[in-house]
Amino acid sequence: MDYMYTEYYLVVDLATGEAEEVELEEKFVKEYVGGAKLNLALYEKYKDEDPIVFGSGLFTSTMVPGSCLGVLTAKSPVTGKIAHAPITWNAGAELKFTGYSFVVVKNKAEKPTYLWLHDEIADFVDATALWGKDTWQTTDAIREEQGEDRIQLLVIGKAGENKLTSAQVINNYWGDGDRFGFGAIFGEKNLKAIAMRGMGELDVDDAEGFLEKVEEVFKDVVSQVGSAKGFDAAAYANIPAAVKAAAAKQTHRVEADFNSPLAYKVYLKYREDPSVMAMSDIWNPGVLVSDPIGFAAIGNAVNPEAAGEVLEAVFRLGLNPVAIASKIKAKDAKGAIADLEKLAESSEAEKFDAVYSPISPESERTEAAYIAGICPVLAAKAEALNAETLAELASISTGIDFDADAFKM
Amino acid sequence: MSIKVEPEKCINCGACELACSFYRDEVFTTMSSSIMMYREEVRNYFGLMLKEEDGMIEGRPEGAKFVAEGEASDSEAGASAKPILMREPCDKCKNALCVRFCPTGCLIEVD
Repeated sequence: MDYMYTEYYLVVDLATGEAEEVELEEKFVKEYVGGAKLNLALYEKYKDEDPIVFGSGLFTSTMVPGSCLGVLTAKSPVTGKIAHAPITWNAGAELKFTGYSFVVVKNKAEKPTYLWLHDEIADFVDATALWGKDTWQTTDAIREEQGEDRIQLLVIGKAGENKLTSAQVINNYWGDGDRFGFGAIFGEKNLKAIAMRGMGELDVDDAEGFLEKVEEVFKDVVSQVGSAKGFDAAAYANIPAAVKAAAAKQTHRVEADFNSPLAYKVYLKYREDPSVMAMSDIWNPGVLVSDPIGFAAIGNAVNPEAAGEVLEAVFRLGLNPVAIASKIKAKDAKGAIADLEKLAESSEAEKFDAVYSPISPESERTEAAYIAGICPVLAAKAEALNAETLAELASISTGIDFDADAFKM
Repeated sequence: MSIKVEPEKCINCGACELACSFYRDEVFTTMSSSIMMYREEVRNYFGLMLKEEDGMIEGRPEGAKFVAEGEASDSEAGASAKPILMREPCDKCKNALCVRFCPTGCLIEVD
């Protein structure tokens, strides 16, 4: 594909250790656009080989506001149906910059492996020494091994290794949109992580026309987001008032996903004074509340002031906070973390309702966001990111004639 | 014209990196920008660097500081931003895209 995407997508066979570059044809993009919709087409194409697909949207990595989104698509071990997990932060953008807009991971590796995608190269790296390590240790170890602190990772902890349905694929250190047990699929495949870093660039058809339109959209989006930030920008999560009040005393700074104006992610410091802005001597001063719904679930289960520290343990073990919150018995941080460590070792399949997170594709606009590669939290707030506008931007940027229906599943 | 950096307003979205790269090459990348984000992720220490002709502005969480070329930076931010020394310096373009696409006013064009 000449514009907005890379030339190829990648098909990886963990059983044979082979990776094949496949041309991403324009007609394929014209039919399936990208994100969840194109992922689904790739899933169907390779469905006999037990695939999990990580893909970008048409606008992922570009100047369209909120262009952070990557989507994981596979058959959910929780529901038995195909599901799409939205991955925010920086992983989707980094995938495209590796030179592969989509990666299909087939079959199972013989031994623990991580996939290292960088500048149109796919390496299968032995992860035996990482098996058993938590997600934070693994992220640090892979970044150190490859010598780059901006490597973005999809990674599992003990829960994924143990193939629990309550496992979650973690995004570097932080929980994200996997509510479907995809962490168990990684574990089943002996896949400890997908690590990504790239210096790629993406072309646009009509650069001048695109810039003019995207600046208009950017101004509208910023105006529609307004001054909302932090937990006020994540009202959908229904975080209990007492949890919010405790978190306010621990709040360090708020942050946004790649190229998004919406700073709804809140970093809590509980191992040092949150007002300290200088580099900390403590390597792990707190946690990024990357998943406000998960934080609400944990906040309902433990003492409010312990919620951040307990959420950290959930992320390190690679658990889905919504799936396991009700299983935590202790209210204090130490006791709750001990409960979680037992839950991550459990061989018992957890029963829970898999729900979309952070925002489900229930409305036309969030559905379009899953296809376009736009953060669904931002899309839910910004009317300017509607399917008609996205279709106009898509046509300008690719030279293909798209209409609003293209951004429907 | 020059760019003033108010790093306490930064939300680390990286829109400025994309915008500056687009201004230079009309492509989407973060690699050809005169601005580079940095992040010590697990410690939540983040900000941006702006390469200039004679040095760079370090936009650290504690505040912005100009570091002249050849002068050693005393910060971790400086250490993690070494690759920016390879970048083209800011050409002080008018009506700069990095400023226009910064959603928080962290980057300001001044005379």
